[in-house]
Amino acid sequence: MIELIINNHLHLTLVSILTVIVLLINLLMPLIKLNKIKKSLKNIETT
Amino acid sequence: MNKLLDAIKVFYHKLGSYPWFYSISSKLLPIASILAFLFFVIGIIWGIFYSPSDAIQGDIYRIIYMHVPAASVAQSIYFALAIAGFVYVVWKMKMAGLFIKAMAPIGASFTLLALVSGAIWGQPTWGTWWVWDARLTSTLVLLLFYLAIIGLYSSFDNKKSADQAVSILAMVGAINLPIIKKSVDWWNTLHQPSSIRVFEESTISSEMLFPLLVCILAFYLIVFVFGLMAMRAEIATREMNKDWFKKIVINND
Repeated sequence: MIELIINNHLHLTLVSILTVIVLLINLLMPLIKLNKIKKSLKNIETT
Repeated sequence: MNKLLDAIKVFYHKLGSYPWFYSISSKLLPIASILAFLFFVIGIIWGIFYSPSDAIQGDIYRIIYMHVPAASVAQSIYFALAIAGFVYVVWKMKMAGLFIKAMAPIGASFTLLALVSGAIWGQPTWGTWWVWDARLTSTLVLLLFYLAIIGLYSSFDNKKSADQAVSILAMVGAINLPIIKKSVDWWNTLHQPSSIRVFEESTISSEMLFPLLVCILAFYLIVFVFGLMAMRAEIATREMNKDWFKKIVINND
């Protein structure tokens, strides 16, 4: 992998990083949103 | 045949129910996530490390394993949005409106990935990041339609009006899909014609094609997982005050 990056593969590395970022954002956004709602509902229930 | 039609009808009616969808999606998510992860890892490792280098482009062509699947899912998501828009406008199925709201940001992010990865690939191979070529421009228009749907939805306070408005916009934007598909045939473009063909022999070597097909399948599975997650989050937003949802949260389901 390091060889791939060093041998003029900056473009490929950039696209890989971008893909990971896009996947992570799409994965984390709904999780955070859902957990926030669940937490607030649980807080209301306990108080 | 009648039984199949009845089963489809029953499924369609069930699909309109938020509690049913929330429950079935919680069962589907673990299996779909594992499959998506496996196909993604296999496809990317196969494509980037084990497929042969291109005779002209060298290793830079390996961007194809992210660029093509991203472009493919970006267009397919929009096609699904247009169908959902039609379903909402004709039958007022609330799940169709929710689907558009949940999937538009996912579609926008994959369209952006396709555009940026294409630009990064274009710089060393075409000598430019961007040209106002028909394929690139029509894909940019696709991104603008996604952004318009997201923007239009957030401009409404009433969810029903928002669903109605974005449904119409999703249907209108579908006109862009055949333009994207046929842009490389109708106009003289810098972007190459499609390498993967269904009814003819593909113009890409099978050693490069198979990992690409695995990557495409992986991206579709990933979008399925992200779609389920986004729809569950949207259901939670809309139904947080309903008893069925509170019950699920309290029971930690």
